[in-house]
Amino acid sequence: MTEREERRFAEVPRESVKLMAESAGVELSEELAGLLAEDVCYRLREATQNSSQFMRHAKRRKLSVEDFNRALRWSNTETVCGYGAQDALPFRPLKEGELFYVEDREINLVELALATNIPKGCAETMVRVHVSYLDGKGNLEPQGTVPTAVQSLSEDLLKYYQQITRAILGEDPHLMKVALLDLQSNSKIAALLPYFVYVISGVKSVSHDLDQLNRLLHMVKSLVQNPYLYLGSYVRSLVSSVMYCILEPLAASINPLNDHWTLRDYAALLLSHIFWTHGDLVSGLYHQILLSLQKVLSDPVRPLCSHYGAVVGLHALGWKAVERVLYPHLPAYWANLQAVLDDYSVSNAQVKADGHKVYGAILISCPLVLVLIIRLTFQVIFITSRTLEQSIQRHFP
Amino acid sequence: MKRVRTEQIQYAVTQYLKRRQYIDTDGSMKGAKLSQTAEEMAASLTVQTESSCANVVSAAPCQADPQQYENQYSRLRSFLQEAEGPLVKEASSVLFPLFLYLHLHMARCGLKGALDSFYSRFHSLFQQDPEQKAIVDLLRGALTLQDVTTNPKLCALLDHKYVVYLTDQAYSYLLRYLQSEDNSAICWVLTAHLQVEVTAAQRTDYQLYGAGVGTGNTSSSSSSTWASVDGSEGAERLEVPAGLPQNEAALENLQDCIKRVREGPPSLTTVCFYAFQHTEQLLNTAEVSADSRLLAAGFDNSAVKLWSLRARKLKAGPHRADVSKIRLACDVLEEEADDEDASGSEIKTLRGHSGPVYRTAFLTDASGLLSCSEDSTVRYWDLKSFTNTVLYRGHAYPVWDVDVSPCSLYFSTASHDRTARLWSFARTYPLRLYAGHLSDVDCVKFHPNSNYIATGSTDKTVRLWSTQQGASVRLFTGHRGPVLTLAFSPNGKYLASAGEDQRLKLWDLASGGLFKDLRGHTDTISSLSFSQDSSLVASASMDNTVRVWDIRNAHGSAPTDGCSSELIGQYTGSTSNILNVQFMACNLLLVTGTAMEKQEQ
Repeated sequence: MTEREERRFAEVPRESVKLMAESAGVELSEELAGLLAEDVCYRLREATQNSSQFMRHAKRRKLSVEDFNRALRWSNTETVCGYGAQDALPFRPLKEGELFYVEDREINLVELALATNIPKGCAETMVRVHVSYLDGKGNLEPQGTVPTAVQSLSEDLLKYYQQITRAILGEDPHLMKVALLDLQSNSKIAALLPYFVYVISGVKSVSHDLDQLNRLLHMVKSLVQNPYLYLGSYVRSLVSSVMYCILEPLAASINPLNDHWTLRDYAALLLSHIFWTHGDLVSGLYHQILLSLQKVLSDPVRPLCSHYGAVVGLHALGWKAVERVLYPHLPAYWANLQAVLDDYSVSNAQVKADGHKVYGAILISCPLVLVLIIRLTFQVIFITSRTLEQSIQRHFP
Repeated sequence: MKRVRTEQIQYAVTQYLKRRQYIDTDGSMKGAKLSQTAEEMAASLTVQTESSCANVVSAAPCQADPQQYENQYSRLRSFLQEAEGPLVKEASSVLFPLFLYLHLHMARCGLKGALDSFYSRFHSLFQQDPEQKAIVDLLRGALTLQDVTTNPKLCALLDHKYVVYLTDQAYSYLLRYLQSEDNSAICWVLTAHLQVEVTAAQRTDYQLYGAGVGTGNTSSSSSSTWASVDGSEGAERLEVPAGLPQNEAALENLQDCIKRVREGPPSLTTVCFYAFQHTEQLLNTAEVSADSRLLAAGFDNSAVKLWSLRARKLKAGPHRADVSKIRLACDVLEEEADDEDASGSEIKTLRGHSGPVYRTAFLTDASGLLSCSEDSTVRYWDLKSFTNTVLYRGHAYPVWDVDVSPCSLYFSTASHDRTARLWSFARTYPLRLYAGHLSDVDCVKFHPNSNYIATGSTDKTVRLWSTQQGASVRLFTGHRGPVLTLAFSPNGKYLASAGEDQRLKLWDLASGGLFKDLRGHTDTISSLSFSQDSSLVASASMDNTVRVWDIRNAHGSAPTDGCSSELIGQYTGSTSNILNVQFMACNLLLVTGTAMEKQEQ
């Protein structure tokens, strides 16, 4: 840019240097003044450059006195004091000629100190969040409105949605694999997320078909494992669909030949996976899940397959969940379970088989709880022995 | 004793049979065997399977009576014509090959008379299909063995088996008919010349939410009604069109769809803006950790403040250095901090520096925080106890930027002393010095493979250094002002640099040349970020806008005010300054900045 090439640096004339030297009481020759002028220019430029660096890194546009002082400090020069107040410097013109001087006002400190209006201190820095949306076509939605995603869904995306859903829920296993793999690795499907979540929430209408349920769970897994996708509040919906698979007495479970137990195991694993990777997105999700599992477990009316699901779900969430929910409930539950297992009548055969499943699930999830029980008993023993010792020592010194 | 038992059993059985008045029991019981060895059982089973009904079909000999061919064939045809049901159509597909091979067989056996009447009776059935018609015309000329052997096409037909696809239901239907009467000729042809591929029965429709609407063979364009999306409840019911696609065609279709979406425009991006208020112009930098749980900000008053972005408050862990206790394994379970502990707080202030803090950087697992400052030191803050545990000294001038390497093995700093330095977390002195810039180094970034470091400087250049050797491997010139921010694409191919000249330049690392030069911003660009799939770049500038560019395809609208066509979106918030922009996922952008300060009287 020609403007830049023609820019000349500000120069300090020799006369000003001589004037400044005179005011300091030093006599200077022409040559000396010239050299000094050059040096002064250079130093000024260097100081300005350095101070502009401080300004740039503080992300400001206005150069402040503090920046300049910092630059001087790093150049081992004395800083300039007396400047840096918030209000601008008042320059007053002299009537004789083009000279401006800084007015030195007198301030009555006593008045200032005893003044009744105390300026408010600065408030604590705080952070607020705003959420807004940027459409793929470049239109900005105003803050706070939910985007009407319908108009912006292109033909390609619509077709993709149909093809993928058809492939996953259809017959060809190879097609299903390709579709699931793509769901897991495609970075441009964020706009279709509500639609896929809706498909997955259809678990409630296919509780008779274990194969379809499995496929829908596969879909959940792919979506959750996609590293490019931010799930946001859809986590709730996904979790509720997965919980349905774990807890509901499915229509498919009426026929004892159907293996709904592995479905529940898979769903429990998926639940823990979702929770550990995306659980932070929704506050209170953990407690909600625990609460629903607890409700199922404490409800004797529910069939045993639901109880099995609850126990497996707790186990997948970690030993803390087991400790918090299952362990307090265990004594009461155990009694009921024993009653079921002890009933050898023929009509109870199916229920008894389910009961054995629950029994097995509890055994798997409870070893740490047993450790806790053992530790607690040891602690109790230890404490009682200590108190006995102390009391003996007190009474028989 | 055993023999007595056997006799007793025999006696009981004969008595029972006598009671039930079964005749000739005595004779049959003599030879009755009450036990069988394994070999005998295997032998009898083999005999059974080999001589079962299914194998009658293959064992039928060649038919001597010529009239039988015609009779059997006409019977089959009339049966299939009169019958009803979904399987008939499939089973009828076997008529043409049967006709063909019966004809050829008769020609080879020299049964000319029967052949003529057979041909004239049935050849009119196959005039619709052009291929079948062609073969039928061929057959007209083939009346003797010589004709058959001289014609190469007919020989080929005889040499190879004709493949017919049937579902197993249709196949068993056909077999049942064939077994019901004497159809030995047809059976023989079936086994000798036809290969029946039996496929499992397939569902012809599936409906996830259908209310019994027959979807048979609808056309591929679906009628969909889309309602507006609100919250998490998605669209109305979409009718997924049914129909069985052939495997290869369907796969190709699917892959084509996938490809088009992948190359298509990027999807909706959510912008989450963290606005700082009451900063009194002291805020220099802000950054969000990779798991988006923590927000760190550096201030001019030497403080670093941490905010928790989740509901969980920040709570310092217990002090480890308690020498009055001996820890046993069973005590470990007790130590897990409870969630609802009131002693946590939302903000933590970390004090330790003695100058304005210019940059904070989280470690990849958010277990620690690095901050660099004007006091020429870099401090490491441990985020479990929120204390400053290490002080790194090496620079003698203000440190402008710090960056952590991808696996948190090293970190590097850029300083006013015109160098960048490489540090490891275990040593308080630097390991490498990268000198070469003519003016101070403003920004530094690691390449995703940790082998290269890029530095941008006030001397308007960007340099690429080898981490281990310390030598400069690339020099990128072209900027017209100081380079203030850099970003590497996650796939390692591109480097984006921007600064005071308001241009975003993308450099191709393999060739070392300029890949793209994006215009659009009207003020200094202060922050850059790539999306995870390396297709989007977000840039924040001091003109209070965040612009998102698509570098793979030019999907953006035509340039209106001199912007490059890669621009796909622009976000202007009510800010007075935007500090940092980060892509968290391809559809989530985090922006931190200072909120607009209200003017005070």
